[in-house]
Order: sequence, then C-alpha cells, then structure tokens
Amino acid sequence: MVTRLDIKAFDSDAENTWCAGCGDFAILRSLKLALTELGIASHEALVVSGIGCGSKLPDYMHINGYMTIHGRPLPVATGAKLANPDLHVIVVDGDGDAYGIGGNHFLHSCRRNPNITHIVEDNQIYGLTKGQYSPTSDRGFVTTTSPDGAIEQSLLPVAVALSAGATFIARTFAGDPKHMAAVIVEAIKHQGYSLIDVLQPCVTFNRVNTYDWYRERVYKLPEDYDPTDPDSARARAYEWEDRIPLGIIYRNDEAQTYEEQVAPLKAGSPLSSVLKLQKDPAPGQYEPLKEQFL
Amino acid sequence: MDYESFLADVQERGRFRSRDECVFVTATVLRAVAEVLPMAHVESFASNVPQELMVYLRGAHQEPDPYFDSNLFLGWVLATVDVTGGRDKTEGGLDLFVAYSTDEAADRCRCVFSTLKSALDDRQSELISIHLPDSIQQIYADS
Amino acid sequence: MALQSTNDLSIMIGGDAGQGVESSGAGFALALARAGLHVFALQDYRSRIRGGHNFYQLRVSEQPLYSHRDPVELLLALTPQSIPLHLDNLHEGAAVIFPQKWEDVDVSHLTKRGLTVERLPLMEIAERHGSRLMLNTAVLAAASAITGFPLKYIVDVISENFGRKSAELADKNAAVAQEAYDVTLDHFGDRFPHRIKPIEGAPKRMLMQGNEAIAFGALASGCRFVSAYPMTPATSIIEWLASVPAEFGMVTKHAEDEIAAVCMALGASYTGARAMTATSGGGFSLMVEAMGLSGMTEVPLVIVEAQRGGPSTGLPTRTEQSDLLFMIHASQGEFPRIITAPGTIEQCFEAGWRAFNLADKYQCPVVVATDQALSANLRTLEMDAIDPGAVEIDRGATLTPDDVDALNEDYLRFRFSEDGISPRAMPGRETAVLTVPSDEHDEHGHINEEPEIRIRMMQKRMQKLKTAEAEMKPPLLYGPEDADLTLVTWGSTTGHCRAAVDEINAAGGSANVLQFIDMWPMPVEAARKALDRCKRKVSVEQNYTGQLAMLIQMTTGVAMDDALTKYDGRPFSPGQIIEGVGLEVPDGH
Repeated sequence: MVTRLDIKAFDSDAENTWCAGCGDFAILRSLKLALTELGIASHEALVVSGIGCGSKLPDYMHINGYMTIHGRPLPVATGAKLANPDLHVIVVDGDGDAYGIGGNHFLHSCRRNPNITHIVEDNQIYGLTKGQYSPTSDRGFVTTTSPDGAIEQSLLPVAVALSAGATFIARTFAGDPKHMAAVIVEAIKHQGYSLIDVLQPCVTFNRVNTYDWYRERVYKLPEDYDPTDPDSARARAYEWEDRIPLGIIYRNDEAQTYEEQVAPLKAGSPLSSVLKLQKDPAPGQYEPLKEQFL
Repeated sequence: MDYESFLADVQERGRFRSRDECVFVTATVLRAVAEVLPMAHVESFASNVPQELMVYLRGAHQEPDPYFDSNLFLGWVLATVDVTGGRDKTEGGLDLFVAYSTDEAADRCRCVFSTLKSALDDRQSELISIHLPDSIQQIYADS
Repeated sequence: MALQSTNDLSIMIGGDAGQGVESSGAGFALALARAGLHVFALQDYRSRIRGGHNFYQLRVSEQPLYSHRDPVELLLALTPQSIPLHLDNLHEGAAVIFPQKWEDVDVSHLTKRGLTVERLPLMEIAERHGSRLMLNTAVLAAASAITGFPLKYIVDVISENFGRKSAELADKNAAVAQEAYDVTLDHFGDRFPHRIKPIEGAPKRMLMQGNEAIAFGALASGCRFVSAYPMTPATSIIEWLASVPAEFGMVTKHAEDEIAAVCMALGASYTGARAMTATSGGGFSLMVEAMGLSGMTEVPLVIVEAQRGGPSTGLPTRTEQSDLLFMIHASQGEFPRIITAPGTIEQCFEAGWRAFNLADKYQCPVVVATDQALSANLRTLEMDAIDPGAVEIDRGATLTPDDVDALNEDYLRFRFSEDGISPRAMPGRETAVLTVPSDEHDEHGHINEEPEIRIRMMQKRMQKLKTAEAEMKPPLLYGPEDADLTLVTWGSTTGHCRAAVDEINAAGGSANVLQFIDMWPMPVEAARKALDRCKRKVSVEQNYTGQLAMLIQMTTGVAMDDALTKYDGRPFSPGQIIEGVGLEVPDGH
C-alpha cells in the first residue's frame, strides 16, 4: 500500500526548472511511486542521467544521482552496476541523449543486457537547446534545424531495441501516470536491460506531438497480449503513425543478465574487493602471477 | 446553450482573435476534462452541453488515472498557448515566452469553465468540479 | 665494440608479417633470459596482418640493459628482402644466415662488405619435417648453433609455445630445431666470434613489457575494473588483466568504443571501486570530454595513454611522445589532473599502483603516459622489481561504508577545505544520499551558477593541484652528478639516453640523464633545483615540437641549450643520441 509518507522520502528541495505542464513531472512522480511500491530506499538506488531537460531529474529527487555528459549515462551506469551490483541502477535521459548521441551505447546495451532500467523521456524534440529535431521526430517535422521539415525517417526505438536483442521493451505515455508507474515497477523487477520509451509531450516546443495528439493514437495492449512472443512484438514494434501501443511490448525473462555471466564477479564486486584489500592487502596472492614471465 | 453561442461566449471572455482559436482552446480544455471524468458520468451532460462538444467529453476513460494531476491537466491546455517567440541569438533555437504561460493556460481554463458553468445546472457543475485535480478545481471555483 | 665477444651482441630477425617474427623473437628472448642473461628486445612491426617487413632486434648482455644497440652482429633473414633492408645496420664481420634455396641473393656483394654469409638448407629442413612455417624455428636453432648457445633452451620454449596447441606440432618443431642446429654446427663450428654462454647460478629473471608491469601494478593496487577499447599499443593491458585468474575478481570489459570505455570506468569509480581504462592517442581524444566530467564531479579516474605516432591514424605500431601537452590540457575548462610518465619497466609497475592512490587522494583524473616502445618492448627484470609487498593502498579522504555510517553531520560532498579535498562518500549508505551534476555546483552538489560559489569551487578544485605538487616526484638523475652534458628526457627515451651516457662516460666523456617522471603538476622547486645543477642541457624526445622542453620552460622558466628530436616512429639508438648531441660515436658504431 503506497502511503504519502513513503513517497515523500524521495522529495528533494532543489528548485525545479521544468516548464509547467511538462511530461517529466509525471515521469518523476511515477518513478517515485514505483520505487516506493518496490520498497527501494533512496540510498539503495542510483539514477544516472545525461544532459537535457529530463536529465535534471536526479536533482529533483532525494536519491543517489550522477548527472553525466550528453549521451553517456548508459556506459556510466553499466560501469557502476558492474562495480557495485547491489545498487538498483536506473538511467533517465531524453530521446536525443539516448537515441542520438547515445545511440551506440543504446544499441550495445540492448545486446549486453546489463541489469539496468532505462527510462527515455521521448518528446521527439531537443528541448533544452530550444527546439531542434531529434532522432524520433517524424519525417517532415519543422524545427529550427529542419526548416523544410526533417528529411530523415524517424527512429523506431522499440523496433531497434527488439532487433538488437533487448530483453524488456515497453512504451508508456506521460498522460497515463498510473499505467506508467506499473510498467516501471515491472521494468525494475526485470533482471536485465529494461527499456521504457516514455511518450512525453514537450509543451513548449513541440506543437505537433501534444497530449491530444498522443491521446488520439495511443492504446493499451490488450489483456491477452503475450509479450514473450517475438512475432507479436515485431508486429507492434512497427506500429507508429496512427496507432501507438502502450505497455510491455516484449519481455524475455529467460535471458541471463550481463553481470550474471561475468565470472570474476563471483569472487566479489570490484567495490567489495577494494574495501577488503584496504584492510588486508595480502600481497602474497600476486606472487604466483610472476611465474608466467619466467 | 448551442454550439455557436458557447464559442462566442468563450471568445468574448478570452478575447480570442479568431473563432478557430476558440474551437481549439475549448476542445483542448474539454479533452483535459475528459481525462479526469469517469465515463459513467459523461452522458449526464448531454442535456446541457452542445453535441459538437460532447464529442470531446466522450473521450473519457472507464477509470480515470488517479495520478492525473494539475500539472498534466495544464499540460493539455498549454499546447494551445504559443510560447515561442523569435530566434534566440544567445543560445540558438527559439526564444521562450514561458514566464506567463502557466497563467495564460489557467486563464484559458477559466474562460471555458465560466462558459461551461453558465450552461450547466448545479448538479452537473458539481460533478465536474469534484473530479478536477486540486489547483484546477480552484480555477473552476473562481470561474 | 669488439670484433669478438661473449654475451655482448645483438641479433636481428627479419621477415614478413605473418611469418611469426614476433613470436620467434620473443621465444628466443625468453630462452636467453632463462639462461641467466640480460635481454632487451626491440620490436618493429606494421599495422597489417600479412606482408610488409617486420623485424625483431635482440640484445644480449651480462649487465642490465635499457636499450637496443646498432649495428647488429647477426642477421637471421626469413625473406630475401630482409638482407638489403638491414645491410647498413650490420657490424663488420657480422653473419647473415638465410635459406639455401634463395638463389637471387648476391652473396659476393655481402662478402665484399666483410660479412660472413651462410646459406643453410633451413627451408628444406623445415619443409621436410612439417612446413615452411617452421622456418623461423630452423633459423633460431641455427643462431643457437652459430653462437654456441645450447639448443635445449630454445627447444624448451618451443615445446611450451607449440605444446599448447598440439604435442605433434611441438615434436615436429623440436625435430626441425635439432636438425638445423646440427647442420649449422657442421658448417660453422665455432668460427663465429660472438658467443653466447649461459650464466651458471644466475638468478631467475622475468621477461616483461611495460604494459604488463603497469597492469600488474594496477592489480596490486586493488583495481578490479578495467574497461577498454582495443587500440595499439595499449591492448595488452586489458588482455593481461582479462587473463588473470577469476578468483582475483578482476572485471574487464571490452566496450563498444573509447567513450563507453572511459565512462564505464568513471561509473565504476563513482561507486567507490578502483577502476581504469587504457588507450592510445586516438582513443584518448575520444575520452577527453569524460576527463572533464571526472574533474568537475571529482570522481577518481585512471587512464593509461600509450602514445604512438600521430597525428590521426598516424603510425599505429610505432612509437612517439607527442601527446604530452595534449594530456596536460585536454578537455574544456580548467580542472586538476595528474600526469605521470614512467620511463623504465620498473617505473611502470610503480606508476601502475601509485596512479590509483593519486586518483583517490586528489579525486581527479590521473593519466599514466607511456609510449609504444616502453609499452611493448621486452626487457629482463629482477624478480623483486615487481614487489607487491611494496604496494601501498592509500585512498586519501575516501570514506569507507563504516565512515559514512558514522557521519552525524549534514554530509557535504564538495565541502570547502584548505587543501581542496572533500571527503568522498560512496553511494549505498543512508547518511550520504546525493546527486552530483556536471554543472557547476555548491557544496551540496546542487547546480549553482552564482559568482561567489563559482569562484570558491574553482579555487577549491584547483587547490588540489597545489596540494598534489608537494608529493610529485622530482626529476631523476642517472649518471655522475657533475656532468658536462645532461640529457633531459622522459618515457622510453630514458633507457636509450642511459645507454648513451654509459657509452660516453666509458669513452672518457662526461654525461648524465635527467629524467622527468611526474609531469603535471610539475614539481617546480625540485625541477628548478635539478636543472640549475646542469651544465649543458639537451632535451631528447620523440616528437617534432619539443614538448618536454616547452613544458619545462613553461613551468620552471628554464630553457634548454639544445634539443634533439626524432619523429620517425623508431626509437632513438644510443648511437643516434651521441651523434645528435654532437659527440663522436665510440668505436664500432
């Protein structure tokens, strides 16, 4: 049972600089709800963000946070998870950060399957730099850097994630915060890389993909939809223009996480190792390694 | 009240320049109301709300999202407020006139709410009010 | 240099890429090391899988070696082209061994130059036992015979190398070796004036390269996370650490690119683990932005930069020292970083573990700068040169989980302090939950642009540089204190300079070497003091613009008297240095 008090534990006193009406507020709220429901305390989690409006999220929460550089929260988060697997690691960034400059890391995280939850605040535009088109902007979208309309095809993150081998792919809508909170819960519970592409209107710059626009198109996947079936997932992955499915589109709970398959981790995490060695360096353990040079 | 009168009233209250803009604002506010109004109650407004506008209310959900707050409600309405000015030569991109956008959005809600209240009876009005999120409820009361 | 010698010669193996020049050269080096001799191995290879000339130059001595030496006394040619290519680097009376079946080789041309030429049926022996791929085994065995070096050392190495693949292969190679040895001995007897004799009772020594020493040091320091992207010549660092037994818990990650590599290391370090990455100049260029992230958020980061010939793809397999000023200035804005440049393999081990102490103490990026020659060339090392017992794990103001739990005041991650260092808590404890931004921030870690905070934060961060300066190593002197000539140098060039001054002094001259190790922050007082004691100062470095000389002048105000630079991707030979400073090269060069 979620109580107000629990949620309050995540409140931060930092001044919030988001525009009124920004979908990021709903995302922030849903993330807090999800953590509260899962019983994950502030100190047990690490939120890593990139650069952008949405990347300020960790500052607006009482939680361990690392606001890094544009496009790079995924590798930072991956390193953190490998070094201290006890932390619940969550990445939060925008569509430009995640699918544009961070595209390479996105692609490889899908294949790598680290136990990280990736919430992408997808508003189909670059907000912080004031209104340029992004990888998920639809073709023809007019912005200051695409005055004649964007020429490129928009990226379909769900389709890309699916073909790159991601083991948990979901889409939610900021206008449905309760549904979003429930999906975030599932994503965090999922052992592996969980992608949540959140449709999140930028009320200031994006006059096309507004709450209305999304409302007309989004629909929740039916009760009997089987997210473990790759064929169904493939079909839904390409639905975009007129109908946009919300919910868990694909999940594979059989796959092992990256960390589970790293043999040296079984001997202890890099963090626990150095803490141990600080107390007892045990230099003798390295002598046998000198044999190979003889 | 019929459709044209409704729009005329909104236009006057809001001092909107064009009828099209009115249509847009009214539609958006009512769509936002539809997000918080349970589907079961929608038809009870048909007696006093013009058919052309009932269309928007009929977008209501079976069970509205309990976390749909004032911020999201305003977000719906903000889509109608043009906040971008000319080019921002200091930062690149467009310059923002967002300082007053929240107030502007609240004013637009107020316009539509006022007209709506004048069309509805007390019971219907109450029904709308109790489902609105906190600060929107306040705006409705002040309308 | 003598016309005859025992345990004092250089052997060159020349061939095409794909013929196994590296592995047979390294194998011979190992055999010699096991026989109690000191070895220095210079490798020269290209950025290709097949074709193109490669060579392996081995120097043998009874004294510790820091450099190769030109010319060589014995050339083993695996291709006909190897002969003309190295003709000018052959000592008078040197021997050239090559397969009998190469009819085009102009033997008379070679003998006219005073060389001893031997055509031996090496290819035929190789093919008969197995295949022409075993030519290099035959050639090594021939070298063994010609110099009187017992074959068993070579055979042992061969058996180990090939034994891993198959016993049959090992046997065939051993047979090739034996026959080639016998045939050569028949031919030569002990005519060849340069002999190699194992040293009885010599201590066991390791044959190691700089990268392995750095990696060993990192392991011993408690580093258990390495993320990297393969790039010559840094790749062997991650490979060695990945080969360490799983019980050590060393997590290695081959990332999708260098940006991912450095960011992963940073993320790991953020949680409190010791983490590093390793790359060369091109990869370092990609890591530059993340360096700034480390500097601004005060998260420790260790980067090994193994320099190679630039710019751009440059000379991928060749050595250079042209990133010094880049490393010092990399990334936008100003923040503290530490640059340390070991120059010998022993110093590489120390740099490997010391870097982590520095990174933890000063909570900033630490770059360990090496170059291809130091990273990849092999040398014999005394066992105690790698002493894990000498490693100190000093994490400075890093708070342990117990420390954090004991915090009873409002924890400020970026608390102002006199030395600029703020106690660092790692995430995971209730008493220290915080967000760290890459924007300018206040003591709490909240984004803040106000002038007063900005000024104080900038001063706090930069103060760390001043605090660190006190523990930076002063330049290291090698040779007599009051010499007429001082070679001022860094990195791998140190070894070649040491060999040069040894020769100068042995011939009656007066020279020493001043090696700069900690480059940034420059220990200005100590550096000035050391430089003031010098008479004629000549900087010796492998780059075009004289970056070390510039750095010294910039920080200490002291200018060099002369500069010797080399930027052809090949290391200085002692002879080239001696000639370069205007002295006469002693006999035999």
